[in-house]
Amino acid sequence: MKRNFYIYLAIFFTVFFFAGRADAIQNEPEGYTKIYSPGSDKEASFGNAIDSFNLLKTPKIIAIASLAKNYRVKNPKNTEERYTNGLYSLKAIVFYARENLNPKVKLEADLLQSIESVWCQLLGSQPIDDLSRNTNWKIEDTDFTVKLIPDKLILDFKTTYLESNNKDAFKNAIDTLGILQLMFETLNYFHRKSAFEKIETIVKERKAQWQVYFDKSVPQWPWEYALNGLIYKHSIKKQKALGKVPEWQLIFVHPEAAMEYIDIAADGNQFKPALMIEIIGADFWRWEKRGKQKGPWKIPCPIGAGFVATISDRAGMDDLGLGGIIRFNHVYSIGATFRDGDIGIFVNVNFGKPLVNNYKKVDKYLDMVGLSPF
Amino acid sequence: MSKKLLLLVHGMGKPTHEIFNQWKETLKKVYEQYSKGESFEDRFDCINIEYDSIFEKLRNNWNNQIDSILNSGVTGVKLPDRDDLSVITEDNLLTTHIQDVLLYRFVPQVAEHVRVHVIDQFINAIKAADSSAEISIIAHSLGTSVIHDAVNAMYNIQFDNGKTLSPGNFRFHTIAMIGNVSRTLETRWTAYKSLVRQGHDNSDNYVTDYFLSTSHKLDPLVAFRKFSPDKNWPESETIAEGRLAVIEPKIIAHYNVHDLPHYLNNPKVNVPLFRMLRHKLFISEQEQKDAEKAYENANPVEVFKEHGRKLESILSGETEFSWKNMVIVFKGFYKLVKDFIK
Repeated sequence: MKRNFYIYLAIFFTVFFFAGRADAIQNEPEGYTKIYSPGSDKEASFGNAIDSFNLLKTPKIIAIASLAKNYRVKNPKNTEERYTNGLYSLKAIVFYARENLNPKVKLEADLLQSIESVWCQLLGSQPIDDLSRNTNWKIEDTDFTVKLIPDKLILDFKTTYLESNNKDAFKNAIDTLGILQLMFETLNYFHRKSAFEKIETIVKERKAQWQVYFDKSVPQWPWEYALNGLIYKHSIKKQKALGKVPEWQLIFVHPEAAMEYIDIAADGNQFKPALMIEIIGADFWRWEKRGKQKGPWKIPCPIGAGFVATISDRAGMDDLGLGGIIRFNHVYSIGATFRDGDIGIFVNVNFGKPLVNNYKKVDKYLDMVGLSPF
Repeated sequence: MSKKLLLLVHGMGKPTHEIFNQWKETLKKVYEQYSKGESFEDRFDCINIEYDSIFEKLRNNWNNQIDSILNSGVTGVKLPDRDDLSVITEDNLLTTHIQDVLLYRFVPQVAEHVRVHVIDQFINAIKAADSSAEISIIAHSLGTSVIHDAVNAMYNIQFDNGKTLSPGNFRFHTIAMIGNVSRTLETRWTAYKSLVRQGHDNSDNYVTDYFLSTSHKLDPLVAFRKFSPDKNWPESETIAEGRLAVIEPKIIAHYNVHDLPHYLNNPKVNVPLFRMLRHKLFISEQEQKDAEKAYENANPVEVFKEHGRKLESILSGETEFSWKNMVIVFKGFYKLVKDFIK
């Protein structure tokens, strides 16, 4: 009777324990148990190992594994296919390393050797399936630092903790994974650094060009930005990345102040500030290195031309003159307008603040050489 | 252990050091609420990413052009007074906020310059970071659209006869879009189809491991063409793995519902954010419930009930997407915030 009582008690506690475990597993966040819980059979166990492989350092391991995409089973449906993908991913690492590493660099050559030795280990004396199928994996998501190998190789798995029933297999597996992770990180670092250096060169060049476009080209008014934007939008339609910086600029109803000289105007009224409106025009250039500009057709500087109207109050003459302008290097302009049968000449130097704002200084210099119109 | 790097990208308007510091303080306060003694600074480094200098330069150029004409002494034409032009020359809602958005959306040269400027800062940050550092982006408002485009552009830049940066070589850890307008302002890249998405497998078709997007239910600035992808976007596996969070908080705890700290203070946002930035079990279910309860208690509905009603009324009239409606809602919201401050 007493014996039966102990048996019932043992059954009760066993059931209670497993019920508790089941409840604990059910309480884990959605998506968590699905991936990381121990497999129910050997294949599932290996599937979990592959998952853990990914989890160890998700971005980087997957990054390298992605190189194998041409060999991979697309949309793997079961653990066997994922297993195949895992192997191909490793194989791809070796191909990738052979193709991309420079054997003259010692560090990289060592890396290649290490990768190959791990590859041999995985497929040679210790096939990966033996290594993993005998291992029952369990992963918990928490901070953990794993000291993998005594010779100073300490890996911070950050959010991953692995444990196994089979201590030796686990140690072998984790050593292998750890070495691989370190190699992946180092290998990836080289390629990432190299890729970013190349991108950086392009970005810096593009940045320098945009700075010149916005700072040194003929300053655009909002409506000119809008019009040039429409043209530019069309021109970059087929460009997938950063759009090329324009090599010309439309100028449209562009008001600016200029100095205008009209010979037939009354004395003292010949050289005067005028409002110049470039009705329509364009500036052209081509890009050289480091954001430098040259003109089209072998002209040494950007060049532009347009139709203009000038307005200034002059006694006994029309206020409005119509004519043309040519412009060098975005800032030096010279033009001519027709007004009452005579030609007016105007000039401007626009370094952000046009010449006309400093006309008193200009007058001083002109006066020095006996040309002051004021 | 290398620190995690957070790239903070501002929204429309002038980003000052005070604003960025306020963001960091908010992140720190929220993180340390869950971190069990670990300080924010021990785990994260922050880098400010700015692009407003480009808009500022344009405004300065226009002001200089206007000044040059007004001060030229031109005769024969009646020029406006400087004071009459203050609406377009001085700091106000139009010049410091709406103008930024309009320039970015409608002037592709400006948008390209902004992207290049931001990518340059990304590259500097990535190159300076430790090789194994996890790098994440937290972007706000207009910044969400800017980084969406900049990241897409960065991964499409071609070098060495057609090679591009592979997500395999570098991938962001988390991209958090706060007050997400990447869909509202989309131009060259479509928000639901672009590379800016979370991934789970070996594919090269995604550039971040985790993706968070949040748009407050009553935030008028994110109401049009809201980022609200299909429930399985881009595929169900990433959802199951907890790699995507699309959050629409409801509680109002600040008169400026669009403000970044207003989003970050809400546990509906900060819990998934820090679970992504750290790990899934960093904040337990119970801690999450407690934090949400505490936040609800600290922000009773009554306090902003009237404000919420006004926000609803701003949004209720203009449900169809158009730029005109956008501007109407924008102005309505701005007026509401201004009235509230008064």
